[in-house]
Amino acid sequence: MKLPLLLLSILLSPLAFGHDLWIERSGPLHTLSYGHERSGHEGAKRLEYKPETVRQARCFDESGQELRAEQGRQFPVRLKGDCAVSWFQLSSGYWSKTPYGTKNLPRTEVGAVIESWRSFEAIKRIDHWTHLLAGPLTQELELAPAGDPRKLKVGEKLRLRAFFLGKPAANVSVAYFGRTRGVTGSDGTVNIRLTEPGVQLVQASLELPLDDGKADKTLHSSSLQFELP
Amino acid sequence: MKVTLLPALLLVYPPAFAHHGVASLGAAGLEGPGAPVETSSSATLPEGKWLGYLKVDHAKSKTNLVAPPEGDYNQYWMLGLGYGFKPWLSGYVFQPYNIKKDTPGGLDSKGFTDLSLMGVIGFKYDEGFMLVPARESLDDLMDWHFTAYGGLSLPSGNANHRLDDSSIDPGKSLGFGKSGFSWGLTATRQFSENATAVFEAGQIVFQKYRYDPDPVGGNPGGLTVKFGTETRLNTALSYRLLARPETRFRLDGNAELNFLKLGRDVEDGIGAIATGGEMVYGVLGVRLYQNNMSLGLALKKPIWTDLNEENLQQGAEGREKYRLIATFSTLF
Repeated sequence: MKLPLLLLSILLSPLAFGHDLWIERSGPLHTLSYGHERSGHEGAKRLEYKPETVRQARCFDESGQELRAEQGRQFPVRLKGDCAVSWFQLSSGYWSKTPYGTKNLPRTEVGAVIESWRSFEAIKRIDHWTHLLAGPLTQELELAPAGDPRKLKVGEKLRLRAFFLGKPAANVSVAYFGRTRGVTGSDGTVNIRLTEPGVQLVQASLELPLDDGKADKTLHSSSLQFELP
Repeated sequence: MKVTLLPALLLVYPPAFAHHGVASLGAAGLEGPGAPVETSSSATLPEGKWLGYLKVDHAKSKTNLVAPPEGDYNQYWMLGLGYGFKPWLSGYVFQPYNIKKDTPGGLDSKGFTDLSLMGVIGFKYDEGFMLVPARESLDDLMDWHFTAYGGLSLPSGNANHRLDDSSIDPGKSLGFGKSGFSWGLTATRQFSENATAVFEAGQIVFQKYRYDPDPVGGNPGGLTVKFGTETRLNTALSYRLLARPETRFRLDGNAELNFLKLGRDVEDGIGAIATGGEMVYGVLGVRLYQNNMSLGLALKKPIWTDLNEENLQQGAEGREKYRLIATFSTLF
């Protein structure tokens, strides 16, 4: 049974579900933010991240075509463009859990290691919609709604698919504001009932084995952000 | 952060043929809908999974109602095995074992009774009716779910079981001689994180059977009996009292109302005196879950009865002092 492994991945991932990534938009400016802003967790609302950990900052039009967009290099990382969908991916690197705490290092650089992983985190924000956005836009772990999510009302279900490497991904754990609600089936689908008004944040997490010698596995997390009217 | 998992279906058991006691169907995990002890809930087994099931129903009768000896208690044991053929289709086989004990001076019986086979089809409503899919989120599990079940018993038990005085008492037989048939519908709705409402309607119909000659019992040519149809309308509320994800433990409280209508038995074409009637049982119980196992415990008592010739009935449904029910199930 794979569910306990999924649970473990949720608990261990430093960004997945514990902290949030989200994108703030002001006109053409899309700002990558990180912290507890949207989940109502205790603690600081915003946390700083290293801008060099941001691997991707991408902008897509309503047909899913990537647009050229200007990317800032300073914290907080910004993307400038008229994006129907904006996307950031960062990697906080290797992590090793030791008897003395969790360190942001590969297992080869620490002593006794209980577990180790490489972490990838992504956030996708949808501001405009066409049916062409119902599929994957990237090769990373990504959530795509089946229909225009912005037309949903509180109490209705958001029907999603998870993709990885451009294909439907099974056994992806999906949470709504940090609370696990389901695991994707073989076709990558999962349904989440929206219970909160305003900005929506749905988070996916996938654990895969890694054989680079630096960690046991990769932990991919990917969030979907949109806003209800 | 504590994260609970999707429900691992822990217990499922469909109605089975026990002359006066049925099992039910239910499923639950750390999250997701609860399952009452007596009322069937609307869950099917996960595809490719097996279910082992054991139930004991100890029915203690009221006594000093008629001239002794009287029925003291009946104990219905049921061993079951289920399999999920599809996410929406489950099959079961059940082997009951009954003990019917009289007060001193009476005649007891015990033994394995008729094997039964059951099939359950699960469906749900999510912007339309559909068969239960292989995987559902916790939010999907809060949709209305339904099952339709049907089955039959096989006359594997000894209908002509003779008591110690060599008589045959159809009410204490170890089988019905011919197949009985059952069918029913269930509806389940988890309407909050902790609360689940369950509804069930079902029937069991028996065939006419002619027992062997029984001169000692006063039927030298044998007796033809058709037991009355059993009709059940059940409703239940299951409430999650405690969940500990770190140890995969859950505790639910259950409150149920079970209406039972027993048709009058027919013997040699004539309605039998002091058989049949209507009654409502109240059931209070708990269900504990740990990993892939579940234990249900319940106390069941008749709270309203309208029995045929009630003052002549003893040892039958509606005349119990209490029933203690325990179920154990495990998924593998």
